[in-house]
Amino acid sequence: MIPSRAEIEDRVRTIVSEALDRPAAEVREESSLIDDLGAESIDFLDLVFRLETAFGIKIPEDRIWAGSQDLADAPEEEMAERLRRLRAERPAFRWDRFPDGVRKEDLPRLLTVRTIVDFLERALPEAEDGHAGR
Amino acid sequence: MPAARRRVVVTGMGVLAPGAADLATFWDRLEAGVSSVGPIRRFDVSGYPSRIAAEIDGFRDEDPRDGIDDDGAGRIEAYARAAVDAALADSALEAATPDRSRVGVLLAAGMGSYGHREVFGPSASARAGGDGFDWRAFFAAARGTIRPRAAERRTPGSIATRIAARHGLTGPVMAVMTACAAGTQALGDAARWIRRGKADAVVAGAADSELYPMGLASFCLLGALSTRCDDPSGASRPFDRGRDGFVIGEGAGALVLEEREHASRRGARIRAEIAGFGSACDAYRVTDPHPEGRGAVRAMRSALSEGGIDASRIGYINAHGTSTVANDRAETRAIRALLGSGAERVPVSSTKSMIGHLTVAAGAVEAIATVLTLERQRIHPTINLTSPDPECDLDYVPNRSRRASVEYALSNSFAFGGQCASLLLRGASA
Amino acid sequence: MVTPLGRGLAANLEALSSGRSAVAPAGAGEGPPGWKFAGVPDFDARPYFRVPKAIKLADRRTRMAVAAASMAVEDAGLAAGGLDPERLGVVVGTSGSDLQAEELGRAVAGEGERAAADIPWFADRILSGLNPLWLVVNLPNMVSAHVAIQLDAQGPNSAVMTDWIAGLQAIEEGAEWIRSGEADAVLAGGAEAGVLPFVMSSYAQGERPGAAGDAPSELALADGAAIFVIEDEGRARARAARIYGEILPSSGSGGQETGCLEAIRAELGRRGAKLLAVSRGDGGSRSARDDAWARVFGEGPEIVDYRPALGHALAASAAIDAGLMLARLRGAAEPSAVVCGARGYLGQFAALAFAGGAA
Repeated sequence: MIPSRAEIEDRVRTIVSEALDRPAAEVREESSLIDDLGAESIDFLDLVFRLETAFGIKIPEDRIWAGSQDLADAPEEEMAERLRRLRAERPAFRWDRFPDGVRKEDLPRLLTVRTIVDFLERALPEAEDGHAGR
Repeated sequence: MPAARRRVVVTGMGVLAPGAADLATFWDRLEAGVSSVGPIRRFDVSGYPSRIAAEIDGFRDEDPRDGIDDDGAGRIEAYARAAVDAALADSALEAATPDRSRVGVLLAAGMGSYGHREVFGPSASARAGGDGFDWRAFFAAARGTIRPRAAERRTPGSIATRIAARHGLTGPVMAVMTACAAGTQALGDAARWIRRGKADAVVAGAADSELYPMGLASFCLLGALSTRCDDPSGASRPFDRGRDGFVIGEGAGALVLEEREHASRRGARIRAEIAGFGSACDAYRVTDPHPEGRGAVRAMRSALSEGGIDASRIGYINAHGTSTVANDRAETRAIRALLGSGAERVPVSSTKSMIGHLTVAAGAVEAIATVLTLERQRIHPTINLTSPDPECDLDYVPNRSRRASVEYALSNSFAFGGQCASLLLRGASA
Repeated sequence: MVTPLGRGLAANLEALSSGRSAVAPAGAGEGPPGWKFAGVPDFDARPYFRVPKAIKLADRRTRMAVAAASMAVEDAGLAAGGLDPERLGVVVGTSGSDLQAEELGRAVAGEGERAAADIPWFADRILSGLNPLWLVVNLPNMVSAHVAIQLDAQGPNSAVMTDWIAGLQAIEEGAEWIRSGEADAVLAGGAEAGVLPFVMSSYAQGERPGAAGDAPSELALADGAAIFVIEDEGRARARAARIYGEILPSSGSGGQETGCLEAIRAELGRRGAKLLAVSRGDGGSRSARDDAWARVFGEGPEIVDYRPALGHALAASAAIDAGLMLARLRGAAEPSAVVCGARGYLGQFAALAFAGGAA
């Protein structure tokens, strides 16, 4: 049984609230993990582990964080184009926080609670299909 | 009446590093820019994302009775023993029949003193029944897998104690363990002891090997290691844009530190002086370094202050330089904050670019590299620096060693948890 | 301090004076049958953590250390920003990491042999099943790091790991940092979680530690932490701080038991301080080794042994002893002193003297 988006969001908010030690009321869909909720780099690892345990699927880091790490390693010349593409793919990132443009090191600051929910919404049916197909 | 400040000098060194078990080979390889990183051969790493390391090959333990067993236990102590033996021999201290109650031992050593079966046999048995911890099963399995001297192997203190006993040294003994800062910490603490008169000489240093299945796994879990497995010698690239984490190394370094008059009186060869030491903590986050490197700045400033010199006198910095994005940038900012407008004039190089990160042992082995730098008046390069990270914009001595005139050098080591240690060394001929 | 008898010095003194002991046989599921322990029950560490998010990374030892440090700062009247962070150091003594057998076991449950023989399988189980924060939680230096983060201590920082004498050595080192001017104040002491599987199995093997001569002592493993605010005397007096006692410089070579104790006696003699009590830290069993204490200090001082009440918190035990012993200096009408000793598993030795009472 694949949970609905609302159910996913509910569980994700609880997990994020616990991992980042924030009151549930502060954890909103559009909350930026770093700027609003105080995540540091080790928290991203912790979140992935908790999500994997809670939802029973494997979560490759580059997939959930939308390759923000990849982008961070991209050569400067490619950055502009890749950012354009990312923006088209992920309108819900907190682009509004960076009116003067996004630098590489800002990329993790784009990530929000919704980033996680969006990912799970796509990944859970895929995982289910994978199992069913066996 | 307060005594004149006691000065601390280095009269002996012993190194066991990837690619080199003696000082000459160690230095030659560093100066030539030779990498000691390769595919891991110690155990089957096909299941790991990071499969490269700076491994010590062909180590022959002189003391097989207490040596490395087939479960992996005892390696760290064996490395420590070898480095200490070499350092003491190099110092000729024992031949000078010192008062052994005034000679201490101060070592740092890593966590990996348990064997693999020793840990996982009992752990697996205890959880065989699902939830809940089955004590009987745990102990039954432990009885079958535990190796001798397990109680001692719980702490690095036993390594220092046993090594002191081995050499008949009855002065103070201590073990410190500030993780990746510990190797430098041990030297600084030993210098403190000598300055305050607690000892006249201290065998100080560090040993570590986290190159065993669980050790490697624990670093992989953190995503801290480079996964550039198809290019081992190019994987450790501090300050370079292409860096993707550090490369694990192993080894040991020991230095005989001695009160200067005590050394002069016995005609010891003085290799360098420990002019100062600084220790500080970011007190910021559990793993992320402070972005401005405030702990690092503070540690370096304290070392300079103890040495009574201005930052402009520094001729070389042996960086912590792990090849991680976070550290290299924070360290760069810290060095800039320390040196101000003179920052670009001071060469900074990372020994880790060639021998990887020796974790607890790093500071001690890198201090040895720094002493050799002062002796030879040559600076070893940071290799693999082909495309610098724009945020790392100092002179990192890319790829080729160079001649230099260095009187004072700093050696830095920083740890998870924000602990920062910095050692100020002065050349003996100065 | 946080000990099996309670949190805070007052609670511990009260428990001790009413003759309580926290040493009890292991209950079902708490440890191997026949063993005795003195554990610190889980407690809510939140009130002590300025940055509560770090609690998830703090193991039992760290929680106790932070709680003890926080209580010490409060007790010293320095909680409201009375300390310059850059001049505040941290040094904690502790022994090895327990490796979290429960977590490791869960990752390889029931398959110990396979975990040993099939490393690629082992790697897969650990990399997919173990919390990635494992190393950060288990690195022993993290105790000192957490104390620094929670108490905003940016000065010198170290973790001492010389077996069971580490806590006492940490106090000595911390005091020296102040004497040399590297810090104005230091949070120093010991912290240990001893009631854990690998700790037990390590000590189960082989001869009972602490055994000396023909009266072997029993090792009742314990948890515990004691952290002190050590401060420069001038500063402490200038702010009219309540002073528990003065840490005497440890002279005499640290590795020599007799020499060390004789140096302490000489210093006490110079100060005209009366030695009230000593805690030897080795279970007080009678043996040839103990003669050094009797020889040097004679029959005068009371011999105190907290192990029967508190168990043995390994590296932290002597630091806990020191806290309890310092309390004896309160209200002393004449210059007085107490001496705390510690002995390690391999016979390592350390001793510190504390002086107090009316000058």
